[in-house]
Amino acid sequence: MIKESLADRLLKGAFAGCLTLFAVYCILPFVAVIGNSLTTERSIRLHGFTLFPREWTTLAYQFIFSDSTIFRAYGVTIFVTVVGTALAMLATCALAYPLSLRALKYRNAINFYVYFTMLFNGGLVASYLLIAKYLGMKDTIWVLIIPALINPWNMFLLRNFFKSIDESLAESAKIDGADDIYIMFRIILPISLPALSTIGLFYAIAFWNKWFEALLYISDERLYPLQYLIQRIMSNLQFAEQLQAKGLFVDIETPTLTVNLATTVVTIGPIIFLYPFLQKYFVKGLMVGAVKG
Amino acid sequence: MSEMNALSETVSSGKRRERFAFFKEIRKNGKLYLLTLPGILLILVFAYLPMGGIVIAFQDFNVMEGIAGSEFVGLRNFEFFVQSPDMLRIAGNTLYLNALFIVFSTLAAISIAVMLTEIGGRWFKRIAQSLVILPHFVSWTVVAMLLSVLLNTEAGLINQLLAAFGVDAVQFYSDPDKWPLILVLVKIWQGAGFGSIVYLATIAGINPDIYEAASIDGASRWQKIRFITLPLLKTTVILLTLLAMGGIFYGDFGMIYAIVGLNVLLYPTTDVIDTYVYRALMELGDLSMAAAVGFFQSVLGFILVITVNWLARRFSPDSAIF
Amino acid sequence: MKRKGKGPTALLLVLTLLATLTAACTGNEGNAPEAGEQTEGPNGANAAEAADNAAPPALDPVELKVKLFGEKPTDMDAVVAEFESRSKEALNTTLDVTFDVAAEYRNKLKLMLAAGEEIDLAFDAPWWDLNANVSKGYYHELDAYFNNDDYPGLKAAFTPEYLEANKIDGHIYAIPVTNTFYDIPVVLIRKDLREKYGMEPVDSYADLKQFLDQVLANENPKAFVPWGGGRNTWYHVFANFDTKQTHYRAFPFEITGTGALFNLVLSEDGKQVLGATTLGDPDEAYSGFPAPLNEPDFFYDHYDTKVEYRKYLPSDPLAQNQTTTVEGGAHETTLNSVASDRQKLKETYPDADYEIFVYNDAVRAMESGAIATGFKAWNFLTVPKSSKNVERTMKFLDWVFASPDHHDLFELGIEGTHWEKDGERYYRVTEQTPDYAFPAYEMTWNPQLSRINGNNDEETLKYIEYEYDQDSYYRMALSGFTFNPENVKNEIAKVQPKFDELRPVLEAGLDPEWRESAGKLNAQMRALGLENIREELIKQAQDYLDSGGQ
Repeated sequence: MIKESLADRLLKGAFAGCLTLFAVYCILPFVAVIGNSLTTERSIRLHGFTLFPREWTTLAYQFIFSDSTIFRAYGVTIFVTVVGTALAMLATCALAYPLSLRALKYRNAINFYVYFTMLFNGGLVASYLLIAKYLGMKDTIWVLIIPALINPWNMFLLRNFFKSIDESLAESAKIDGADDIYIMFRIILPISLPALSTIGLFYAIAFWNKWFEALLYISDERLYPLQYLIQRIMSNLQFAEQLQAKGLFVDIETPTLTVNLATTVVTIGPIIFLYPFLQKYFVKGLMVGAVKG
Repeated sequence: MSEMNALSETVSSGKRRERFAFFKEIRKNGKLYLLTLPGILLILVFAYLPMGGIVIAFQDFNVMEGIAGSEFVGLRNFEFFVQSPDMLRIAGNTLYLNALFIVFSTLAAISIAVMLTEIGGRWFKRIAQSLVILPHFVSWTVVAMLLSVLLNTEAGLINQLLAAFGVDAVQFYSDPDKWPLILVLVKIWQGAGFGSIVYLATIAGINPDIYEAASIDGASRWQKIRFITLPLLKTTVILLTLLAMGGIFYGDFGMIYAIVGLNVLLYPTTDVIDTYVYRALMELGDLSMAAAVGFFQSVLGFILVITVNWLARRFSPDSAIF
Repeated sequence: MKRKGKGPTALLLVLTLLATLTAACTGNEGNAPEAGEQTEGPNGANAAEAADNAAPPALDPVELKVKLFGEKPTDMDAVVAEFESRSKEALNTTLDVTFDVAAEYRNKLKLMLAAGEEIDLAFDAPWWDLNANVSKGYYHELDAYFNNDDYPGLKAAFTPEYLEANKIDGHIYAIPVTNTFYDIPVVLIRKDLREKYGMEPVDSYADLKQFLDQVLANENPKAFVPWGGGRNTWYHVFANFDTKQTHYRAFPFEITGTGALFNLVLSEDGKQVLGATTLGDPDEAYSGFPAPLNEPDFFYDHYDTKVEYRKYLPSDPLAQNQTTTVEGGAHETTLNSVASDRQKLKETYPDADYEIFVYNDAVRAMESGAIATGFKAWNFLTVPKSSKNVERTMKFLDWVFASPDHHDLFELGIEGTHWEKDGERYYRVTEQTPDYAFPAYEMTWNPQLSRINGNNDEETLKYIEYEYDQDSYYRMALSGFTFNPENVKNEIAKVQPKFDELRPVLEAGLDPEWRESAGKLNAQMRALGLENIREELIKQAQDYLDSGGQ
């Protein structure tokens, strides 16, 4: 290893400085979110948002967790995230790998077939009719998983990762008599860990955040995913505020502002721990000798 | 066999020779096509089957009559939008804001990824990497709330700070000219860290031998970034930009509606197609007219992507979508 | 897939995916692993119980599907169970009440109707798509069930006048849900501040202005504005209440649903539509109207007042999603929200208090026939065409409205648990009231049966009583009229965003040159088809009058 020059060290220092600044830019509002979710509505109304609130309370969290269904909702969401991500990765890799190969004659037709769905969709009415009426997937947990197994954006990204792998790697294996499926699982996927963890992370977050499908297709409370439950709480709170007509039950006060903030913290929790766990795959040079330059 | 049926759609039929070529290709790469089958079927069922719904854009859609029975009205549902004198302004806003978002988010994401790769200190790196993606998880409603803490005229932090220096308060919520910049800064805050993940993964895939060789040749750290890392990110950048372009006629409704809402004073620079149409149809609640606008946005995006993709195929075939 | 090969992994992969796909598509019976496990869910338990106890019923058992929006009350299941046991003999009906997210209910209802899902009772409202949905034929016509001796509950609770005003196209397609026909708007004044300034209670606009000036002079403008507190603009204040709107319609009761808001003027005998005007119309448009309606200022001079009062509003009156709302010395709300606003204030400033200023002079004096109304409800219940149980649904509603006891059960919950009786008309909240926060405005509100919250201050209660008294109202022109936008949809979609761009600016008093801006807007709207809308409006209004409407 050659010793670093002064300029190099300066550049490194500058990078570290920039990143620190950006990290602070990112974290400060977040600290405000956490801090103010732990204070009273009264305090916010009196003092406005402050980084470190003056009156501490967990009222907003109590309000969210007072709905006992939330624990079940965590369960549903974890199931959807784990199973969904696993199946989605299988389906997406299986589609992306062949499409990354020049040898595949009809790859562009298939690429177009996939891409077209990114731009055009039949709208809610048609999807609703299909899924609720004809496929009968209403009130099943699979409605949160199966329609989302292929995300074209993720698929194209993964395809590009595969494309950057030296094709001679697969070719030499083929000469040794391995078939395409063996090559994909045994040679290509193991050296694509950064790509796989990226796409896996994207899928996991997407499944974690699913709520619109639940809104449309799930009316069984026991199948509510976490984000949907949170959306219900928030949307109903906001709507109640707007609604002048709420008159009859004037004495019920709900902590709107702090609950809004607390939901951020509650829903972000578990998924945020996934990323540091995956970070070890984002190290330069993990795939020694495998990728063309 | 079903995969053949599915595939035969993509093959122009009639010519024997092509059919022969088709079977030859299947024989050669059958396993690969087999792999693509689940994906193709999923897309067929969940994306192509409902596409029949597009026709409601050309109908006076009636729920009781359904898609098959509703009356066709030609292009009438497009009229209100196409004839609007504001259309150019809002389409312009949509394109301008989206272009700003794409350019600056991409630049910021790449910078973060490069810097994260270069800096030392394992823990610093890990912590920074985790912190910068946090804002991605904050909902737009909460972002709007936080923004008002900064920008409010009476009690906002910025104006309190200005007051401390004896400067007059800036009325952000009445001054549309400041908003493209504010929205870009918010977008970077919210998305750049998360966007850097893709580039981090791409950089992680670069063969370290290349860097090693450059070091031996006496390349400085900056030169390695400039001549190795950045060029190798090119295909990813182009692909992501291409993908983003398809949606360039779709305004970021979630973000803009949460932050600007119905504040008419900011419309001159922040009103995009989606927020405009939302207001136009708020009372009518007409599904067909809403579908018409969506279809219109898709067609424009489609034309744009076809063009740009054609260019990409000429200049950077690896990053073309199809 | 007959092709042989040594790729069992691929086959497995394909099969797994196809299997899950088909498994999920074959139906929702057994495939939800989460669904089958837990049967002690409250819904399931009730259904099972009801089935077990089935004494030989006169009617076949039926389950009615009710779609509402908002948050499901914690004790909803208990109340429904109570209903089912009480009404077993008479109805043999079970209820499946679902609550959808408020913001998405409007669209979801349309989707459910499109899919032909069985719904027996659904909420809809004219401020959503009620009129369009009726005109497209999505709902059952219910004329036969009202004023019918087989449904005595409905007959008693829905007077012919009440129904008449709420008909659409001359028929009952939607059941009106309201308790009063107007919620009196009031200005809430910070009593503690008023006393601090040594002022008498506010009794007129002059007093109000003096009070606001005092706030402006005495409080720190960074933390305190004269008018605000989160609701930053004006509602009905400054409207002209001097003349009754018996032969015309104007702010705050303009005709809605027309893109731009229209004033409508009728002839003295109420038989002819003389014309419709909107913001920015030239003076000539008014010249054919009888005095004092022949001046545009009669309709719009409140905008001058709003410009004058601009200085009392916060700096960003139009900004949305503000968290740092500065406190206000006064703000506008309606009678029914006074108690909750007061509680919010007390939480922050225990020593502060509000008092009400009713700015409509005649209403303040509680004169009879002082409140303008169309006797129209804002909220409605409908029976979609997909329902196979129209009769049973109406029987259920008949039960609900048959007696105060039945009605209280749904509106307030179980007596002694969720509420307590306070005389004939009032109720008191209890510790458990929050467990049954039923959105009564979606289903049970009724002018005759709804109880009044006794936890209000005396002054407010007095006005609420006044609001409940039918004699307090007068019928305004075109009270039962609803505009059908179908023929001028495109014009409305073009005009609406234009109109909505200027109106909030005028409402907040931000434009001193508002007459000029309104004139410009008017010209633009005319280019977009305003005249077609106007023509259609006049035609529909005249048709309405000709067919006997008032």
